[in-house]
Amino acid sequence: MGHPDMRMCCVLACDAGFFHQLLACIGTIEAARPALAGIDLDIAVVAIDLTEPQIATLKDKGVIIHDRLSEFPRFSGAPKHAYALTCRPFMPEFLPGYDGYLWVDSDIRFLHLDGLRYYAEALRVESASVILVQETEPCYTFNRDPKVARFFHATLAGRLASVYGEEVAEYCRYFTPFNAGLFAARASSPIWARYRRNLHKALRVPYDNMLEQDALNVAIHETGGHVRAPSPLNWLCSLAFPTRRSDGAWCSPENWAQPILVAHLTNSTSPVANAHGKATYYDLYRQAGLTA
Amino acid sequence: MQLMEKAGAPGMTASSKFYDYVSPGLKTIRLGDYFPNLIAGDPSGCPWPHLRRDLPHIWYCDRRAGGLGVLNRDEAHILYNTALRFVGAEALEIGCSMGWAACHMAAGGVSLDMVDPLLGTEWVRRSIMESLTAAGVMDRVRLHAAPSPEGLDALGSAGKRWSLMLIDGNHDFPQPMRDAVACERWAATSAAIVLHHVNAPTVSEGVYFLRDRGWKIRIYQTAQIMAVAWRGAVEPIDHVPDPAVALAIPEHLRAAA
Repeated sequence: MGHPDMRMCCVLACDAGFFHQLLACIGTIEAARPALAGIDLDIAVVAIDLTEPQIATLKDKGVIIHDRLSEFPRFSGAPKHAYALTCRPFMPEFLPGYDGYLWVDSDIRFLHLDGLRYYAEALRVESASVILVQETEPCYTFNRDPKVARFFHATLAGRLASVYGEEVAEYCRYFTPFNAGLFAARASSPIWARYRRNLHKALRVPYDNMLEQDALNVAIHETGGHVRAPSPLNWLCSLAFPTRRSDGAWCSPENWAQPILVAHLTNSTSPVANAHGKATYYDLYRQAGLTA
Repeated sequence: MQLMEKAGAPGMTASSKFYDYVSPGLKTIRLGDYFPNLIAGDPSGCPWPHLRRDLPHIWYCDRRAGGLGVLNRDEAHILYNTALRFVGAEALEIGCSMGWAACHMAAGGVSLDMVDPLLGTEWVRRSIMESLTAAGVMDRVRLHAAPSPEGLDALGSAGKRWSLMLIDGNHDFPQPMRDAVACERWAATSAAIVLHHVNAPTVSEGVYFLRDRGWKIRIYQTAQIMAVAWRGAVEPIDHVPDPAVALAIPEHLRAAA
């Protein structure tokens, strides 16, 4: 293998209670690392009150730790784990020196080498402002159920109006947003400046855990140049539970020919009823084998 | 010294309560004779919500498109005097405004690319070419019938870089921001980007974007407010707002002023 021609940093965040998810996520990144030809990959974690043993575990793995949370803005009344949202627009500032960054929610699992490789290779496209998945998959609940869709878009438009005004809200009202849980952007991208400014605007309204995603979405409209990755590169599992084929590959429940490369174990802590009584989505994900 | 004068082109009319203002210290030029359809319009008839209407400065528009306002005399002189600092340089205008702004830029000595889909409309293109030809600057101007930022990207991808740019195209979200992003993408190392209608919040976001990307910013307190962003070996012109008018800085511009 030749010398690396790109430096990339995967950035994650978590608090002590989510640490098991963080480790599982990092495990899938490490498993996919061999697919990255010519790319020097670092992994960094924004540590939100992690314990000493947890920090030591990460350091043993060569993970870069960033725990200066006061560098990031904070929503009034937000739980401390919301730093995992507000740190995102600042990646090139608190982790300088990389050509590109990949934000990875801790509930992401790279199921296939090509999942990580896609984002890494897309970072080579100089004109790409950001690379991410739009939540347009037809089998997602808010796409297949009119009542859920109505609520989803009305709520989104209301949030946008409260932060950015009616003109922006109307522009976006019928547009399905991009998911901010997994995105890549070059250090030089114009997206960062707008993402930061929009996040600061959002800090003026009461906390909602979707405000940060809205900030990125408005920034995407403003800067253009985004690369829309297909749904299997960030599959929102709580909106359409993946199905496993006989060959072991995870795929869309409505399309067995569509393998899922990256699973996003969304709403992990939300309760869900199953045959065994009350459980969480994360229990279902584990039982199904989507995560360790 | 404040320059008070009547509108300077055939067809221009204005009631006595309106006047032209040009900042002291600016070199003046009169190009109105080359724009026979430029008139002093009634801003109360313009539906655009962000237009500052309660000002005594003459609001100019094209008689064939009454809602299409253009730079007033003060604003045109900011552009002209800025262009004088870029003689011989490559310049860009987004939004054709019937050639009024382009004429002032070209008269300042720049080589100008105009980008606007309206340039594909025959009578608009012909009218602009007639005005620029009459003013003797047509040989320095190229008309591109294309939307922005796509038109810029096409030229930029072919190697074009601009030292002076004017953003005065579509003011609806998110267009001014996209224009600002494209202008920065294809800007020369030393460059200035002038924005008109910064009184509109959507346009002012372009100013904040450039500031956040490291450009220096200056706000010009004109009727519709202009701004210049610059980097490198560029010295923006000075401007004195009309002392007879109380021009407040809108809330959305406070952080940039």
